[in-house]
Amino acid sequence: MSKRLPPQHDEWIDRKVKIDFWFEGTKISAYKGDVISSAVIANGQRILARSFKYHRRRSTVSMANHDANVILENSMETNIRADVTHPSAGTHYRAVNTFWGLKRDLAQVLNFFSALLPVGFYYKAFYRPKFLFPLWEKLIRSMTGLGKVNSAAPSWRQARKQLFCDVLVIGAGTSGIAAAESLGKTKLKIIIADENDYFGGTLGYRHNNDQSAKKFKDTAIKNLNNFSSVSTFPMHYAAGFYEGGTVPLIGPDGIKEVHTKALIIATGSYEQPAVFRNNDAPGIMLLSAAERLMSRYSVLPCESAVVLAGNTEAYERAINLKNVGLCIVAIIDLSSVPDAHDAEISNARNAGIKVTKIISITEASLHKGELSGITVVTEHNKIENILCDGLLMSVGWSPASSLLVQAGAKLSYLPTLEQVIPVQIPVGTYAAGQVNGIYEFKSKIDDGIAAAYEAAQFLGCDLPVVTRPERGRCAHSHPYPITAHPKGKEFVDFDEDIQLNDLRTSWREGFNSVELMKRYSTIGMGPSQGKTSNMNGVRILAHLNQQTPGAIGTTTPRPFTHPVAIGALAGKRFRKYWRTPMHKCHQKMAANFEENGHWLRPMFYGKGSKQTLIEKEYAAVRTSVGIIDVATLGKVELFGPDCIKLLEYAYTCKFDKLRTDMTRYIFMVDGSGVLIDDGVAARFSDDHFYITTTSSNAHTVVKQLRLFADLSSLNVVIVDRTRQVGALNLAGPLSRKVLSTITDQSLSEADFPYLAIREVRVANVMARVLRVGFVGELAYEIHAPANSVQAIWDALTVAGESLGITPFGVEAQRLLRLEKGHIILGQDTDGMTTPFEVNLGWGVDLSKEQSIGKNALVQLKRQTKRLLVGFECIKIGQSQILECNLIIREGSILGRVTSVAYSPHHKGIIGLAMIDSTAALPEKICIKTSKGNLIDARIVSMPFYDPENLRQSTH
Amino acid sequence: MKFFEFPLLGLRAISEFVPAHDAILEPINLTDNMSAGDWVYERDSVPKINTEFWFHTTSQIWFKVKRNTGTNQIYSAEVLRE
Amino acid sequence: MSMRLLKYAFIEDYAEDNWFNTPSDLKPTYDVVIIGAGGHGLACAHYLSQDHGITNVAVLDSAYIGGGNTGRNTTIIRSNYLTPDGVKFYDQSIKLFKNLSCDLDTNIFFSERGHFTLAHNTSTLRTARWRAEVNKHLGIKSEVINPDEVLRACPEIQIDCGGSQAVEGALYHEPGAVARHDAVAWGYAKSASARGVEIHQHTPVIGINTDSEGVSEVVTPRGVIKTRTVLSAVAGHTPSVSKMVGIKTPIEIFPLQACVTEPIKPWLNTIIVSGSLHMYLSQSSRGELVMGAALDPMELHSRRSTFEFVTGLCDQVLDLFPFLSGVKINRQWAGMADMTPDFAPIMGTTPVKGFFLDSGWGTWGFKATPISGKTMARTIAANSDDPLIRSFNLARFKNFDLVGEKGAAAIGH
Repeated sequence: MSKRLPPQHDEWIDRKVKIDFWFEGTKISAYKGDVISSAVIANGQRILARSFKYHRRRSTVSMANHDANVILENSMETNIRADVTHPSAGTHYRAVNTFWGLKRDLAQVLNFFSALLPVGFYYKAFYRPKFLFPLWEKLIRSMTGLGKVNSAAPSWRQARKQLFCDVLVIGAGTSGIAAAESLGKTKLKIIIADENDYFGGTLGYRHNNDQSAKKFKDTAIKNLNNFSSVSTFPMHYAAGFYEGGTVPLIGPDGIKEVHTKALIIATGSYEQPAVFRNNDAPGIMLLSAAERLMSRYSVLPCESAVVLAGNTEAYERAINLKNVGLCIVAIIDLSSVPDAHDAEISNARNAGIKVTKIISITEASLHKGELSGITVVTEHNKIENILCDGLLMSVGWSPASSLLVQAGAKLSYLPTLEQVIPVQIPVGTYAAGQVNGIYEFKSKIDDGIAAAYEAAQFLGCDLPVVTRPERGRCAHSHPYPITAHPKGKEFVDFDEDIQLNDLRTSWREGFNSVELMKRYSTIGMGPSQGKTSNMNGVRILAHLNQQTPGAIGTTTPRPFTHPVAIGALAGKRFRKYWRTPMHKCHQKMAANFEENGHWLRPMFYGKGSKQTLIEKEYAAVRTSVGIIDVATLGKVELFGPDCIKLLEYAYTCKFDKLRTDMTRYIFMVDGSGVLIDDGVAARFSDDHFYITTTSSNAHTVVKQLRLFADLSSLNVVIVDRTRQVGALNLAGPLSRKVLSTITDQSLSEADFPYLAIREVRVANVMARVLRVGFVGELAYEIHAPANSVQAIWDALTVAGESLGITPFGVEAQRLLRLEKGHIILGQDTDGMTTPFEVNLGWGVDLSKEQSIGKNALVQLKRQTKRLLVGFECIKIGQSQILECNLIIREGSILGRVTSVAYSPHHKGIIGLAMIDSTAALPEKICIKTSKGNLIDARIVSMPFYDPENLRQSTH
Repeated sequence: MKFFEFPLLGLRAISEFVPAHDAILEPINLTDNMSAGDWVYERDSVPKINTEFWFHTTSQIWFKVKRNTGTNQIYSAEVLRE
Repeated sequence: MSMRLLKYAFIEDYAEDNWFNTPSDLKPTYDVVIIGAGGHGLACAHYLSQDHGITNVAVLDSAYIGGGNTGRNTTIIRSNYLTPDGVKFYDQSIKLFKNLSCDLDTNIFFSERGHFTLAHNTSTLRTARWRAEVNKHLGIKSEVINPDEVLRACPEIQIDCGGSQAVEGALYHEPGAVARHDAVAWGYAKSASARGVEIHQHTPVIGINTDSEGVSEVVTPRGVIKTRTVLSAVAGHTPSVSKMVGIKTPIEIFPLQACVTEPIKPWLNTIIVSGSLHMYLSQSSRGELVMGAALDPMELHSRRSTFEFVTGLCDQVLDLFPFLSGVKINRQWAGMADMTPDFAPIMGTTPVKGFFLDSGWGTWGFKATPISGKTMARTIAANSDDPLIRSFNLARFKNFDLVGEKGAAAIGH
């Protein structure tokens, strides 16, 4: 039976466009503009969900996403808020967290066991006997959680936009649009946002019969859309306030991060429910839910309604609804103040509505799971039953002040209003309208304009001061709309199924402050985050503590106002990718790449057995010539008279012995003496140096150099050339022969000694050639502009083809350097390694007056406790030893292996190990494999290969 | 997002900056009652106004910033190099 | 089923007694004053009263019980640390956690889930092996596993992480667990209260006086307390408190943020951590995904949340679990972490006689709650550092005797 009303003016549905979908197996006909709930209710079904703990039947309470009663899922999406989500055609929706469907939910049996499941029941049970707990936990876990997540659901991301404005207005109700409109003619850039599909707020569903209100709304909204300096964002909610004035607006097409100079919060307030036995029955809802259903979606919430009036506005609203087709059986007045509503009562009676003054509403009765009647205690203390299938509650409001508090405001409870108002609002933020305790229509307009003018003045505009309207002396909220019942089921928090007794029990068990009560009872911790429960919770706690609600305080409101999807927050996916100038060339050579920070580096080339391929590359370097891309190294050019001052401060060594056109190995420590980088320094002149750094630390080293230079105001210019300059290393006994064919520079020992640097043309490209020895062979490292280095590589490849030139990758390089005992920072060193622990004490000059980490190094030199040693293990062929296998002595950990490999030269396993050196170094060490076997290894001196270093430095 | 007006750069988001954690020059001599360990490791991490050193990664400029570590308010920013 | 629950069913208006002993007045003197009614402070109070018969104890807190980091952390418990001292320490903690529900007569929901520290490159895989080897040697079940095994344990993971920084393996730690953080604090509070320990909420400490014999008084707005023994257990505020007795520490305070999604049906049965992606997540028994990332970049004494945190985290989460796009984040919050240079706590005696520290808990505090309480209680009772925490003493920094955990610095959760 359709509950659809005839067309209401300004309804949000478009009856020309039909959308069909499925709800729990039933086909539902909807119109474009309908939300899922409105369509299902229009279709005659009001039981829309099951509650979280007791699986009681539930329906919509606010129709505004202030409650989270109706949460649905479909095959791909989960946790859909049916009250504010438009249905997709053809989709099958079902209620979450039911066992065998909404109608027959088997878990409703929990409702009968609810007495055994009081607040905090899980803290009091299930842990003895211990072995049963995992089973209990599994059961409890399966009962908790709402929607199911489909691990095959499509992944999506929405780009986030950054918007900047002068004034951001949150809330386009009466006050919000008044505020924005009043500034429309100034030069200020205004953004106004509202979570609803259309602007207007209560003007759209409460004041539809009020011509002046309608005129105001239509005119103001038209103006807002016409002002060039105003941007309007319906369907966007403010997720939170972040320092600096950033408010992300969440909309269907993505997040707009708004950075504003001034903020006007006109977010209104959340209508509050009354608490009494069975107040969660389908058919019991906030009066505003009925207003929204009827005016936005033209849906009748019920056949015969009772309005629970706890404030004056209930009456006008009830009459309004009667006028558009709702049958109101009675208004029951719950005023705590006698004669408070006498004028309104007589209006209602004149309009033909019965009004009964009551002391309390004690319970609701159900038939087939839906509301069928209520029981009240009248002012004459008589018990009266009223038949109805709808109870519309107008007992009070809780301001939507979370953004204000996040912006720094405090909340103060105003007894005259029986609600909190914001106080001590920091400059730049302004509250207006119901969130500010202003209820009267004209006052809301004035409050909005006043807030706008204050904001404008803050921004330097010359506008008159407008006094704020008075808040009024009557309370719009009932101070205690709560009635206890001996049989319980008076729900305070619908999300978490928390009853009045749960809060009483929490209190008695010592959880008697607002924070402890929240955490123990979980009130306000559900999906709606307490929008329709926190205030009643505060009132109840105040009652129990015999304090005022103001003294109780509130819990901390945190982002987000409504939940925000991970895909919207993630934004578009940006990842940095850096490629060396020779990347395509590596690809052509079937390189096997590995990520090294943002770089991709070839580990080895070719298809087949990794071990075989690496050994082939290794052999080429040792016997003929190999070529490796080292473009990822950091490269820094230093100019100026204070170059040496800077280098001697930043690095551990002295540079006086470094001659012109020569290089040396350098390394850097931090303030605590720990090694953080190494590289090579080349001197061109006293005021011109060129240094390299490790690939991963290039930006850090440059940053540090700049810092030191600035702190001491050094006369030095630092140019980071890491990504301008490509580099390759030509290594092997035949490297000189190959290089000599493509350069005019003499490569003789006299003209180009070990560690020299020369600026020469190579393959007709101006390059820098350094004779360095990382892999232990005669080698030339060639640095050239990034767009030219490929030409050098190609020329070398051609020149060396007959000699067997072979590209080699990082794996082969690791093995080659290991045979020379060279360390790799980050592998042979860790976050605590000092130079003394890795045989680099020779490079630490403590006679310098000032260098980073010097004071630490002075002390650390005296107390070196670990040492990096070389070991060999001839007995085993294939390595069972892995990096970071432990070294064991008498059952204790002596150290660990940092590098290990099979050395073709040594014909056995060699490696480096960092071991405790406080006792005398042993001859043998015992390595524990990952499987637990113990293998003996012998400590040997390094290098393992060419101990005299003849191959790299002479020839 | 917090923004601040920086010299040379104008209004920038502070997330573009990387703070330095060891930004005081190594002392030439430690005072008598301060050991190397004290110098390297002692901190005074209470809410107060700190002078900090921030690095702007894109422009590669170091700034000297006065910030309140309790409220996160930034009072001033100057280019570190005089 | 529990007899306790049946009482609720059949006795009208049944509630248990007040869990907490919160007298309205402070006594003029106590044997021990503990500053900080979080998990650590209350655990210490429990063990002081239970193991050492010291019950004339006041636990003070500037806010409510468990309102500090105890109520804000992401509840991960593990012992897969790098150093033997660290491993032994956290292993003891896990042993205590296993029996804690029974010991405290409060279900803390200690749930063993297994813990995966994903490695996305050879370097982190190497560090993972280092940790695994140390763990195994000390009898802890940790192992380096390959991507296939990761996938078997958590089939929902996108191993290639969207095309960069693919998962290369993981450090799998079988004892990894989660527990209900609030319940730990409440359980210890309840147990200590039952033995006469007093808890005074909303009682900030504004000064600590000393005389020639050491600590002499604790000053609060509600009065001055005479005592010779003070324990500072105030994660996030340690420097402010230690300053009251003239002690400087290396601790720097940084905000650490976290967030939860709406509750969803259980699908993630393990704990996933990724240092390279700067994120970690697990699913609570309420069904919410609890997620966190790296520390905030700057020192700040505030619990404000940032939008950068949650957007950055979501960006990374989708690389591992792309199907979570539609799952919504409900709430974000923050705590303040005591960060130390060597990622190890600062515990035990100090140069000021009678003043003890339980601090420096960074991002590794909740998992140590039981053992820190136990060892601090022993330390206070004997007035000398318990052997298990000797390497955590404040004096180590002066001597460059840092705990080796720094060797494997990562995101650490």
